Amino acid sequence: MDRTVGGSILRTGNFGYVTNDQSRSNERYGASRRAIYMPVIRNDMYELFATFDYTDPSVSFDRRPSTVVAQQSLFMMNSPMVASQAERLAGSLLEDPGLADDASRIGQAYEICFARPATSVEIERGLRFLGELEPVVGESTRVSWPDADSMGGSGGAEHAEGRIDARHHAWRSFCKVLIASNEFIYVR
Amino acid sequence: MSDFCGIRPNHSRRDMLKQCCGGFGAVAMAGLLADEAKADELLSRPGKIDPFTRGPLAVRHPHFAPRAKRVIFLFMHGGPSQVDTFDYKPKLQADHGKELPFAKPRVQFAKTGSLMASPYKWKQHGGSGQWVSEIFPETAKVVDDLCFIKSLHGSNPAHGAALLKIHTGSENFVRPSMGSWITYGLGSENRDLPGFVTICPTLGHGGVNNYSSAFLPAAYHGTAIGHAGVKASQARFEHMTAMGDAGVQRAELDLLKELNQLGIEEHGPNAALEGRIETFELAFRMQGVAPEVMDLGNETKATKQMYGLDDSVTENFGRQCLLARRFSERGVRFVQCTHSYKWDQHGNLEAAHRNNAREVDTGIAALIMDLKNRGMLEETLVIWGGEFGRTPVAQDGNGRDHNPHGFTMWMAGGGVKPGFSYGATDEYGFYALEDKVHVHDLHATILALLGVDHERLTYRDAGRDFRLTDVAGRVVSEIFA
Repeated sequence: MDRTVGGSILRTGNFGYVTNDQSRSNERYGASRRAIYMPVIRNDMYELFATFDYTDPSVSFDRRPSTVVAQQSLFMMNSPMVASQAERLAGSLLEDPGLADDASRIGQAYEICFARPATSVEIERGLRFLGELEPVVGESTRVSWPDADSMGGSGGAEHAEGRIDARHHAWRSFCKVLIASNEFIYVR
Repeated sequence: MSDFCGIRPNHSRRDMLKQCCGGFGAVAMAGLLADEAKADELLSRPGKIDPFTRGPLAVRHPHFAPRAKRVIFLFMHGGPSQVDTFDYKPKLQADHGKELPFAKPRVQFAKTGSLMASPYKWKQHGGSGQWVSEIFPETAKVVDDLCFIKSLHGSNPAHGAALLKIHTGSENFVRPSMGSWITYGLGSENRDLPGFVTICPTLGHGGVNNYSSAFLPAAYHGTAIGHAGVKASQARFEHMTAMGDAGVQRAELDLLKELNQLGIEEHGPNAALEGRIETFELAFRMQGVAPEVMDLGNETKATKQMYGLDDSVTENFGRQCLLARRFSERGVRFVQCTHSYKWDQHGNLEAAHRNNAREVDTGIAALIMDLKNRGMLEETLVIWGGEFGRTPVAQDGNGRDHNPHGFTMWMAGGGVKPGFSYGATDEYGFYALEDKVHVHDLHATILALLGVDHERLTYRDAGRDFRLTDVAGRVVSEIFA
């Protein structure tokens, strides 16, 4: 995450990003800047915005639509961005020397994702999930992200090449579930 | 995402389970026993469909015998000119360069000049003798299957508002799309695919609001494949390829479902949150089914050629048309193909309209013939048209301005009269004059062809019942076969 304040990430001059028929969009939306710096281009909306109900800039709105569709689920399940964030979260939990066991790692994950302690039911369910998954998943390649042509940034954040072990893999799955959960996606 | 405006958490799965003291068994029985009369009654009661009783996409029975089961909408974004395609005006051809002898609309989009004849040659085609300009030679061959409406009129001369009007019936408020209303009214014949699919939809001029479910339950939202910025051959349901092992993903989804249900138990019923649990299951099934639909590998060479896939000009829209047939075959209720923002010729009309037509003509004709050969045309309603037409008077010498006051659309199959033409514009093709058909009337007619009464298909939101046709709409039964 690039925390730079201000400025523009448009790579084209004024009007250069407006295309008549969307056949040649000049914008890549590739930057790991905060979402507020993402350009809003009327005829070529940023995919993440469009997927998650950003208001349409062509018409006026009295309220923001809020939809629940399979695309959003597919995004949470299969987007490299989500998997990559889950992988990093899992890595930080596994490397944290202050966390003595898996129960406390689960607790920390809940604090990070939901800003609340995990319940005993949730810890128990999480442990069972990890216990079942770790022996069967095997190692995995690291998720490649960001990717300048997809949802990711243009190289603002780096990612390591290589592989992760079965334990990290199982934890990546667990963290992905937390990120895909209603509690993470919705503001209560 | 801080509120779930418009989605009313009035019937949750928990409420239903409480009411059905037999639990899941009773629910299953209730589903099996829901007879047609009950479904009819549910459908006719405003806003009383419980989307969770039989699933939001469960097939529901229409109000009366349907003529069509499903719709394919071929949308020509930008506004194709009626007087250069299907609405032949000899007087316009004769009076080129003269002033329009009657008043132009009070509100115009751009400044226009004198009358401009169509630069194209016109001929009558087929046994029905319909006029088609030379830029649609392939469509001209299937003209005996088409039912023209030449007296359409809308309300707004700007693209954004006109797109919203044609798709949702409302140019100034966020309302459910026609495909959403239809899927809400009738459900989907295929539970593993969305009921409403839109191929390469435009991102501008209302964008997602042209296929959004607005206040209808989210299951009726149009599912986009690609968008206008990508080629049809590259268009995919986003993130459709399962990441990693399917077994691992199944375990993840099971955990996710349990955690989400824990949340719902703690915080109470919420249709949107429960809907999201359903969409993960739909997404999981789609990963298996959708790639097969998108794969044209088992189509014959002849079929691919017929749709123009071997020609770089016709390939893109031809592929959309072929995909539309494949989705329709599998029971998707409403499929839209979009020829994106091409038809807006304020200038350079002669070359650009010719090129636009060339891009879509082969695919359109192939779709009609293919549906017919497969016996699907009679129950599939194909609709062709743009958000408005264009002026018979010139803009910048060789272009035409937007014209919502009179334009042409056509339908095929689905219980409409083949080789028929309804309504007429004035002698220059500017204003709809005879048997006028407003966009609301078009919507009412489409619903009626599907067996749905546009006055009874309602949904209560913000204190009142809403319809696709608002408080208007006349069923143009004159075009029914």
